[in-house]
Amino acid sequence: METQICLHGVNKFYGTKQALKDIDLTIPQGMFGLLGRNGAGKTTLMKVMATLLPVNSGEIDICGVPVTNAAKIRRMTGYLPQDFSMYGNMTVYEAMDYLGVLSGLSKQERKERIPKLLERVNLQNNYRTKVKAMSGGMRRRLGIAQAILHDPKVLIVDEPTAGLDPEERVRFRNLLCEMAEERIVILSTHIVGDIEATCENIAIMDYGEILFKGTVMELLALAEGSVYTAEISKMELEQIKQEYLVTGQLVQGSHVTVRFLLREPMQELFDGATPCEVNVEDAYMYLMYRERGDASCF
Amino acid sequence: MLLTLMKKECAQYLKSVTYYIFCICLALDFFTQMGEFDVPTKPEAGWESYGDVRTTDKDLIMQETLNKLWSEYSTGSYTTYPIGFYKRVQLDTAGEEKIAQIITNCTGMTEEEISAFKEEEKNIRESAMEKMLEEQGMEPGMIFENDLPDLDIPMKEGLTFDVFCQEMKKADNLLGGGSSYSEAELQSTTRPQTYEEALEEYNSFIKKDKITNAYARLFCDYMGIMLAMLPIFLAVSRVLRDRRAQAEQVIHMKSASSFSIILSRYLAAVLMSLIPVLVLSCCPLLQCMYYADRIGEAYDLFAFVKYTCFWLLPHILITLSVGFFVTEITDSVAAVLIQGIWWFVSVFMSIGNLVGLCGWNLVPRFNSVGDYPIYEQMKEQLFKNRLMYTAVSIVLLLLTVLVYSKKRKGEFASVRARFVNRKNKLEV
Repeated sequence: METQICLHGVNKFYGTKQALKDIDLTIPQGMFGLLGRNGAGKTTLMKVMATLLPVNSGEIDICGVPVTNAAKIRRMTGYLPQDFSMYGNMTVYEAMDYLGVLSGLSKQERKERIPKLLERVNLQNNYRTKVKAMSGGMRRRLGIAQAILHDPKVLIVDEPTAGLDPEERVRFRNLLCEMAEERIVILSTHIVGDIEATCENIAIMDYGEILFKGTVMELLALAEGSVYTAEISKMELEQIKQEYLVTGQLVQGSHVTVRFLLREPMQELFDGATPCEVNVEDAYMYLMYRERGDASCF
Repeated sequence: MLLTLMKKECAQYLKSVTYYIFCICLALDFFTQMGEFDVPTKPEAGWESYGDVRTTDKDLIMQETLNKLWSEYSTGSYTTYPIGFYKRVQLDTAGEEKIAQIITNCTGMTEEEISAFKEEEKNIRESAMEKMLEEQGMEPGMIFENDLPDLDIPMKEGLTFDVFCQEMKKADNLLGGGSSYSEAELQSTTRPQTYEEALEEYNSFIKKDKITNAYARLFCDYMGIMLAMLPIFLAVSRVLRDRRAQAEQVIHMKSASSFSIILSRYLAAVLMSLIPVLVLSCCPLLQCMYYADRIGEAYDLFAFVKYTCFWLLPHILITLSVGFFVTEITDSVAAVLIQGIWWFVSVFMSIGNLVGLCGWNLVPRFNSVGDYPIYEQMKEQLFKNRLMYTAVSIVLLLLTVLVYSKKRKGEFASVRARFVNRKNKLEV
């Protein structure tokens, strides 16, 4: 059975509002990042792949199974929604056990898998902790454990790091990378750092459309030669902002170190501006400006 | 899977505050309503009264009802109980004329004859009052309307019971329903019971009902009122729990079928609703067993279980089904309101006839210990009633599965979004 997800001409409407516009995408095995600002359509796309929303037109195949075959897709897919939680009065083990039953696991399978998974997500000392007493990070880890409880081929995680502290975020990203070794993991996020640290293949969405699909390297190549840094005086900052797309500024006394993108490929530079290595954030901003012509986010 | 899920659902109920409130309400109802264990005493010859008993004597029913109509017509005031609440009705001139016409149709008397009759009755009542004041030394304030004699109004010759019933129906409609002339009221006309009848009733209580069955019916009467409403809270809280706990999407994504999920939740709710009922039924059962042993009579050990399953289980099934279905479709507590209105109408409509009222009522009533003949009369209808509610429950449950299945695929979300979009457009 092929291990990839294919979307072809997918359209989704909420009433008259179009949430997905002609999505064509192929997602291979490994970590796949879906990047875009809030409201870009990432969650809708995730839900459509998870059989939680029907499409208006188009085809989706998950490892060779059409998404219309919901029962089969659910057996081979794990899903961690953005706002995952479980019944507050359940303990961690009870929640896992309950969701395990819903996943069709036998008593023996649950007995074997749950302790292993809880250990894997570092919740081995929290069997009896009530869900309502768990921190956001612990809940997300419980969420990921329940999502892979039935050993799915595909794991869909929606904004898993939103609201987590830096330490917890790093731990969670590493966990997802481990998961991706044996399955397709689709990670949706609006945090560029998550993608940079974990994904090789990505897609960028905006207003329900795919603006970019390819590897991280291909994305970086888009902004190659357009990213510069310079040390300027505070007085010059406003003028630089007018002329270029400033993506970062570090004030040091009366001087500011700015990082900026060229508005046009052949734009004239000022003295002291030096080219620097492109990162995903630069490339993302560059793409958004190029495609949408919108500099309001800078 | 179904059984395991059901066990887990039951365990969840045991951790739920709503469930304990449900149990406490049932217990409070039981202990306050069932009261003390009053056993009917064996009647002895020579007692002043043996109580009243319902009559099927059509002549008596017609006479008693017509007397009542005449009495209310004379005072110009009618007492009714629409949906169970007391209401005093005063008709306008046209209404009074129509009542007079009904009386004429039933008595064959002209308006003048009615007036003359009215005068005669007044004289008789006045002389009776004078007699009571003089001979018995009573004060005027101590004499009530009911203490004064009523005249039996002569019935029209050849008046059939069917025609009479039709006339009474007209009167009931004129008064807005719930009057003494409704069909249910006609059926509950009573007459004094004889010693032989009282003895037979007592023997039925001991031999046919084996004590336990009679108490089981009373138990069902009280518990039925509660079980036609309280389980709705268990259903609503269970359905809304997924959303409140933000567990909805995760559960929707699991491979378990919608049928297994809903059925396990439903069956767990049914079982957990039944358990306190069965536990409470042990109290009157033990009392009955003790009493039967003391008088050396047989008892039916399974009477309460039997009646609970036959009489009360459909209450639980229909209430939970309504709760599951309406909550699943609306994602709100609307089911409480709907069931509340249905319950209210059903319970208060039966206030006029608390023993043996059944029909298609949600809450059949039998607020009596014994009255075996009345139970015999209502048994067939009760069976049909319970069967109908069970069937409706199953249909609603299947519809709930269908709705849940569609919700899992997000089909309801699209409908809702379309509605919101349209609403937003209208607002713009």
